[in-house]
Amino acid sequence: MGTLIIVLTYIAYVLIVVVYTIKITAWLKMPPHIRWDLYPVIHEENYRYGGSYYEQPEWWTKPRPRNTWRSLFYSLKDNFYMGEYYKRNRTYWLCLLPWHLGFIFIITFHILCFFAAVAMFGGLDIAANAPHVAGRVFYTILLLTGGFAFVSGTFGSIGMPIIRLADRGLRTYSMPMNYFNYLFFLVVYGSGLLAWLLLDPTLDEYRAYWLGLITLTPPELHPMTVLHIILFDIFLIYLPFTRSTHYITRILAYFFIRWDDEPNLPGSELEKQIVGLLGRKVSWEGKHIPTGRSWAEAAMESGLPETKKDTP
Amino acid sequence: MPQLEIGGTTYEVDEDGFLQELDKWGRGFAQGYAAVEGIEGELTEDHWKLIDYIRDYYAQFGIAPMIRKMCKDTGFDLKRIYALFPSGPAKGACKLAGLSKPTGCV
Amino acid sequence: MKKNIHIDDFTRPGGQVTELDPAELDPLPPPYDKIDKPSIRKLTEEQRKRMDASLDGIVAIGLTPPKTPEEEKAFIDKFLAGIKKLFSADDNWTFLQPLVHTLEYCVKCQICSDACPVYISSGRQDIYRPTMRPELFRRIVSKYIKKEHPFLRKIKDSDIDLNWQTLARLGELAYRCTLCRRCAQVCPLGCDNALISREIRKVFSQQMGIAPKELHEKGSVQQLRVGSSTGMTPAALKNILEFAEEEIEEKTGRKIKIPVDKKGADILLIHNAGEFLAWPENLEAFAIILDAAGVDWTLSTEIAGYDSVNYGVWYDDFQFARVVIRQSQAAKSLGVRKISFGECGHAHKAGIVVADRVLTGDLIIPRESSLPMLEEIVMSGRIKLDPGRNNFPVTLHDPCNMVRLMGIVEPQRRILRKICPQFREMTPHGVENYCCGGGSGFAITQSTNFPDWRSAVSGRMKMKQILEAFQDVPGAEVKKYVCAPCSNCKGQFRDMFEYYGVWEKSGILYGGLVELIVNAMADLKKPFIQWEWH
Repeated sequence: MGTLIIVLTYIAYVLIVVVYTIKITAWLKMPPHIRWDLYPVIHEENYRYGGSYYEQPEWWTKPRPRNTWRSLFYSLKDNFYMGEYYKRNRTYWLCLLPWHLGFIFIITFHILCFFAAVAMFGGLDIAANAPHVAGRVFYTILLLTGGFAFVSGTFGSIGMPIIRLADRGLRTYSMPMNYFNYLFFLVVYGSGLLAWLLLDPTLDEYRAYWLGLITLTPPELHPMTVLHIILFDIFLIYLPFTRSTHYITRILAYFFIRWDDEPNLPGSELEKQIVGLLGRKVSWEGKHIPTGRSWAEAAMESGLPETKKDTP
Repeated sequence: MPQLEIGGTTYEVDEDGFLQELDKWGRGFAQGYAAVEGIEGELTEDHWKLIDYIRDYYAQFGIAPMIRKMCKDTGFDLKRIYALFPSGPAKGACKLAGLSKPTGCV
Repeated sequence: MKKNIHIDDFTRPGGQVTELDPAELDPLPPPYDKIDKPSIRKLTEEQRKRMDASLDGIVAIGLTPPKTPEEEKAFIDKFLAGIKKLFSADDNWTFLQPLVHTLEYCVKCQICSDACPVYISSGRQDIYRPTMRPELFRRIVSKYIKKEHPFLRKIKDSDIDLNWQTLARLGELAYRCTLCRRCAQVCPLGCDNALISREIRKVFSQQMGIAPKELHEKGSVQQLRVGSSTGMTPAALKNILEFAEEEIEEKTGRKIKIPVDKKGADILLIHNAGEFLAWPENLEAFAIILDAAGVDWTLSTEIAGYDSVNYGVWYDDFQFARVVIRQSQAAKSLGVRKISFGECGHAHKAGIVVADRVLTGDLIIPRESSLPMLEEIVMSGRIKLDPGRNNFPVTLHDPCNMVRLMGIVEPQRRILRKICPQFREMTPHGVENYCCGGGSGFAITQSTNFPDWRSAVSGRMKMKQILEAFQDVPGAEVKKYVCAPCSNCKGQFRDMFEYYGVWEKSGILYGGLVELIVNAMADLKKPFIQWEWH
């Protein structure tokens, strides 16, 4: 059993990193698109009321100060707060936020366990009554993170399907997979919650598990914890195949679509890219489009019916 | 394409009754259409003055005249035009004058 | 009766997905709460034979049904080939990334529904949810483009049976969204359901050659052929300008020559040509201000050089690009230093922002909004203004394209605060404003019963906002002014105000921003705004 969870865990982490990387790369590799910005643009000076650099006469002669840190903070903050839901659908938010915090905290918990295991390997004792203060602090943080993840995730996984079924709009747009996910995540969090409350109140076993992982020694664990860890590994493997990448792509969408207000100035790198894109061939079949010609050629001609022969 | 029969002649019109074949217009069209547009009886001299003005302008410039210019050149104010053509200058007068429906952001 | 709408309702041949009941629409404040006429005309039986109205009984495109099963199959196949092109980096580099992001990452949480004025105003009709179009679209992609396994489609609830009727309804539905993008603004995941409306329109236009006549045939095609979507030729333009010069002299006593095709001028000003025909006072006011401020400007008589409209931005990338290229060429041939856009929202967004990644090399000519320039003129004191002349209630409408989609929020407000003592804001306003209801080409879509729909449904939220902004002075005896610095929005207000009888009931006039500036000019003998032209 111990060997199984070590192998499974390694597979899970490799897979999640690889699939996430592939997905994010594919997102980023799409060509630059036409400007489609939407205000407020947070890096703008007058973001408070949604103002842009176009508010100044001859904007191209003026500096365009950008505050990227502000945008980054703004977009990251929402991963932990989900403000639009708080503002617009409070009941939904009450379940949605704990559900999401469950994800964040359970993954954080495991990452922290990894560091704890490294520290333990280096000789630090991590426990409620550890001799060194660092060991006691580490212990408390781990306990709070793990405990919160289990409770919050369980609460969210029970609440989400209830809310979805109760709200007319959400019900219509729910698919069987949503309910399967809620159930599966409930089992993951619930098994963790039970193992913690009933068998492992100090969450000691996770440190043992992670120590086993980094030293490649199969740990001796309670079957209940093993069950939870196997479920958690399956969860990790499943995660990249769901829409979970939205944690990252939503931020990309903010930066590269909604807030992308980079003007195309003569001689810029952007202009070169656009020249390349304009050279691509189009295959649209509408009568006003010269099928098979380049984008630029299609745009330069008038497309008037009298200038184009009917194509069969 | 919808059709409209006026005084025994069939005309091609658009969905809102604007004449599609400008060359088919005749005084019979305008008179026959008047009833549809809520104008009772024979078209008066004032009606014809406006219709002729619109048609002349169209022949020269390819579009309907601006309402303000129409008022100024004919001496009718907007109220008078609405009294003559209850659907108004664009939807009433221009329609009887056989113009197609105005397009663009007008 | 309101019922839950399912995908099957869209794929079922025959019948109508939904029937709008005026009594179910979001109520308006009195005296507009009484419905004294059937607010949305019904098509005749004969019209229904020619035009598909099986979505909601309203017609924007009005597709003709196919006559044979072969015709139907050919239609569907061609359409699907078009959808495939949307996912090609060659055919659709222009919008690939935002499109893919929205399709992949929308979780259908319905936050956007509450932000959508069409959905809310309709009395929360399911078909108008911003998630409805993407749902249909996503299912088509899942089954016919990605060819996902039936089991996967089952658990993802993404099945659909395509027939001609489904596509006809999808096409119409793409024209029930004003592209105001309020939905996208509130989306926590950065999705843009309004863009899906545009992408569906695009497949219809770029692949099938199908678009509302007012947008394509009588719109962008006419503009590229004649010079303006209004059909106005350069000769007609000159005639109109002469008239405007006469009017300026009559109203202000000033003799102003409106500069045309002036080589080497500093600014090429491009107006929406609709202003010339329907609201010449706007063009006159511009001329008066620029003349008084000593600006070196000109109009152009080249194709698209005197009509800033660019309907392509609503439905077709190529028609869009063709117009911006011609606008740049017009500026280049005159040798002006920059292009300035008059009071037209979508022309701002299209010509200044979206155009940015289509123009390269010497076609990149600096382009800007005329609003900051007007602000500078008003604030500089170069013209003497007396706010007392504008002492009537004024509210400001924010054209989506200029404000939410471009971030020009304050210049127009700073002007109004300075020259209109009774200026008041609508709620909400600025980047959170509601669309006038005429966005994305609706205001110019004049045929059959579509104008009824846009007055009764898509413009309803704005109607409510305007009435609320003036609730302290509701009576028709107090003359009030809605400042809308956009021809398209003005067109919508004109039709909507007529539809509800707003002038008679509430005494509300609509108009542009420059008219208010000129109306405040201290040395004019009589007021510039003529209330009798309501």
